[in-house]
Amino acid sequence: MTEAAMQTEPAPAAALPGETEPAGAARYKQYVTFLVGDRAYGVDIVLVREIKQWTPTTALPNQPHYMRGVLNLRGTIVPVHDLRARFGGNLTEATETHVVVIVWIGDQTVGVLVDAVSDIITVSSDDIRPVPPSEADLDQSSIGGLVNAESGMVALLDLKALFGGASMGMV
Amino acid sequence: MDDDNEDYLALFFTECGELLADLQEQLDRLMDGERDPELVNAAFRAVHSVKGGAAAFGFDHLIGFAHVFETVMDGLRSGRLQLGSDIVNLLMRSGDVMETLIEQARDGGDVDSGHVDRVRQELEEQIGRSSAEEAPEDGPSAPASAAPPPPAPAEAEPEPGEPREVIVSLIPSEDFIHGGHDPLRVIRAARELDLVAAEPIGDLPPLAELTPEGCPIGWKLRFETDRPPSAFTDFFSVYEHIAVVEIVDENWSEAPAAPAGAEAAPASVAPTEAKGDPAPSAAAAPPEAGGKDAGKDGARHSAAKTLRVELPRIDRLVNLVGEIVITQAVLAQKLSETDAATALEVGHSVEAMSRQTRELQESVMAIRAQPVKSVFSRMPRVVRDLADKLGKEARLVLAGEHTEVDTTVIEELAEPLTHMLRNSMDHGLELPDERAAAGKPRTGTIRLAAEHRGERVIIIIEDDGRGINRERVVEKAIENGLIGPDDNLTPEDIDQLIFHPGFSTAKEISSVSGRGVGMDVVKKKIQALGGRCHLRSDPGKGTRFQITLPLTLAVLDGMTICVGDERFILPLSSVVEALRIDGERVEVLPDRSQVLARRGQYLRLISLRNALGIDLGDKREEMAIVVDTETNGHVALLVDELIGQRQVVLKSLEANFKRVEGVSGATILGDGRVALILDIPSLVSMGGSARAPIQEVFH
Repeated sequence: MTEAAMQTEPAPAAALPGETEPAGAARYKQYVTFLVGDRAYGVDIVLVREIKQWTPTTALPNQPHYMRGVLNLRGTIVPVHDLRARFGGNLTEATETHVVVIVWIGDQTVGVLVDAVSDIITVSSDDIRPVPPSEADLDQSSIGGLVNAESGMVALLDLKALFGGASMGMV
Repeated sequence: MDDDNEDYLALFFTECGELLADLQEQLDRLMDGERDPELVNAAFRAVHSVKGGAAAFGFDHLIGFAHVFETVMDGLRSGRLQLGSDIVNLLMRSGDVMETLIEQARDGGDVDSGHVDRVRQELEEQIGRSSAEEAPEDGPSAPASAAPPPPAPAEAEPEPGEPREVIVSLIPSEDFIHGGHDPLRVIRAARELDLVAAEPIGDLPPLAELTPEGCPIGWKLRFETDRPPSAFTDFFSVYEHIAVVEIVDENWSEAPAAPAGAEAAPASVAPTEAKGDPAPSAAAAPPEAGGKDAGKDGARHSAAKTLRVELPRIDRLVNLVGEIVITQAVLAQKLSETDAATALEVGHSVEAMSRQTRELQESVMAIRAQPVKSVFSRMPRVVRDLADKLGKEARLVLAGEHTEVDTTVIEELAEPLTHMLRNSMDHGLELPDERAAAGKPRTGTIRLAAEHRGERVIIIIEDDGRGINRERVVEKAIENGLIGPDDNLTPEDIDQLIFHPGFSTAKEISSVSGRGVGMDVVKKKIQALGGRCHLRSDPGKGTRFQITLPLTLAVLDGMTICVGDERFILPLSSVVEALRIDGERVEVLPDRSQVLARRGQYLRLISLRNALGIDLGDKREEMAIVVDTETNGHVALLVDELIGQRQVVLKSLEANFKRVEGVSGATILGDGRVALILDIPSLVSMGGSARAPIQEVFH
């Protein structure tokens, strides 16, 4: 895998069907999906800045364990969070095949460490299902919804709830 | 009008800042006894320009005051008033008042109108004195009415008559736009004067000949108004040396005899008299003043060679150059790893490039460099204010104002400098009588100087006051539990106590200093800037603070150290020394924390592994770096390895993350990895004292 394998362009939704339909009708959005273990997660494509091969990070003192430190993204310092560890799993033993999805959360740029990027899917807002209550190991507020894609269920991430709090400082 | 207006307003205030600094400089020189008439001219021009700008935005108070102010200076230029030290003093205070008014116009809020009025009154008395020589009438309050729209009631104004027609033609000269004027703004501002119509004069040249900087057409402005002619002459006098202004005001009915005196008096001293002559005055240059103003226009021409650039644009450039420097280092490193033949071939080019990159970096940093004058020039006012409040006599001597420092440093400097001057005024200088009794001149001297020394800039604040009262400092320190009654401190150690947090020896808490936020704040601030603060005091003779600062905040001199696999940067300014540890010098206290014996002193040992949570197993640290915490004395940091010194480009962690305790920022090393820059004071307060487990290693 090459670095910056994919750069997204903003507003890809413009050409999608349904845009011209009146309000209230289904809206389509594209999501980048990626894998952590065998579980698939999706992030709104307009929030994805780029996808980068894992490179060792520099640890920051006294941070939650899922905060993997910072990396140098062409001169800016970007924090990297381990998605597996964020959802209560072990720390990812990152290798060169792992990827960091660089996303925008508000005006901050944040990296999310995942196992692999899998696909780009187009989802109608009608197809997004709410997260059923009491799902055991999921931080519910951090999952914006569930989608049944061809390859199976995709959990759509609410990045702000997941990492925004950590980034903004919990004080 | 909105954004556009906001932009102009911001520009106006920026310019005001420059003009005030300029004014201050002229006044300072007058204060020092220089009597070059050009000084008064220059000061006049500065005030006049402020007035011009203020007129465009309708800052009435400011216009009114500036008008009286410049009228007095005009009296000085023309010799109607004598330049004596009392007048210079008055001008000085007027400068301060004008600054306050500008601040109020910018930030809103209240001003001490009593003070403003007092100074204004004094200025008006001067005007009265000068006009008394020409006009038989001696009405000190009359000239006030000459101020364009003064807040004062228009009692002295002639009766408002029937609205009449006033025609003003304004034909901008080539330099009109260059000089910072904008015809649209003039016309907008003229609406205030009951403008009813504006017709262009002249035709636009063919497109091919049209220059964007020129202003090929003029305007004929028609007013229907009952305002006195002075309203128009005042308004347009601003543009007179940069445009041809003709005011036709035929229907102005001659004012009745009584107010005529009042009207005549100001007219005879107002600058508008010389230049506001109804006749087109461009060709027939008004005597003296006009000649000088022409010189100013020449100066404007050369000033146009400078460029106002928003700081973020330059910051981007600085960042980019920082990247290039890093990439360059990576390239050089990679090259050294390739085979010898290639290295030799490409080596020269890489070397040349590295030289050019360095030069590029220096040039970019030079763009941000600014003379310290911009902050120094605010200080005389601080001293004058305090002298007033404290009943002391003080003179501030500035030196080395042209020393250039990065603008980021300059911005941060005003606060600590103000604080230190306050300290010198409050604690350092004695009351005049006290000084006289001690055989010193009644007026105390504070010297504020800047100079370059290598890659750093040194700022000195020196007073000839009483020096630090060590007995009282010790007393207070014991009282506050900072030291024990039996501690035997050297005089220098005692002096250093004033930098201790919460330390203040002011007998009573004054509004000037001694609020408990004292010199420790200054020291912290200076330290945050990567600087150091030294103090020397001679009892009875004075105190001298020396601040050493880096020239820029964009790069930092750092010491690279290694803890485990991670590299960290310590600001070189806090590093005192580096030692190799050996077991004998480490002692264990009863609470199992460790101290390092060094030259008969014990230093707290702080393990960076503990503080930063780095797990290293049993490997033991071999080095200790002694650092100055600025507030808590020296401590020793345990590290694995000392790699060396280097200059690093500072990067923010907060931009994409948040503030991290113990870390002040980050940088990118030659291999592209991020290294954290350690924040020593916060690191020390985080704990991480070296403790027991290491004890076993040292047994």
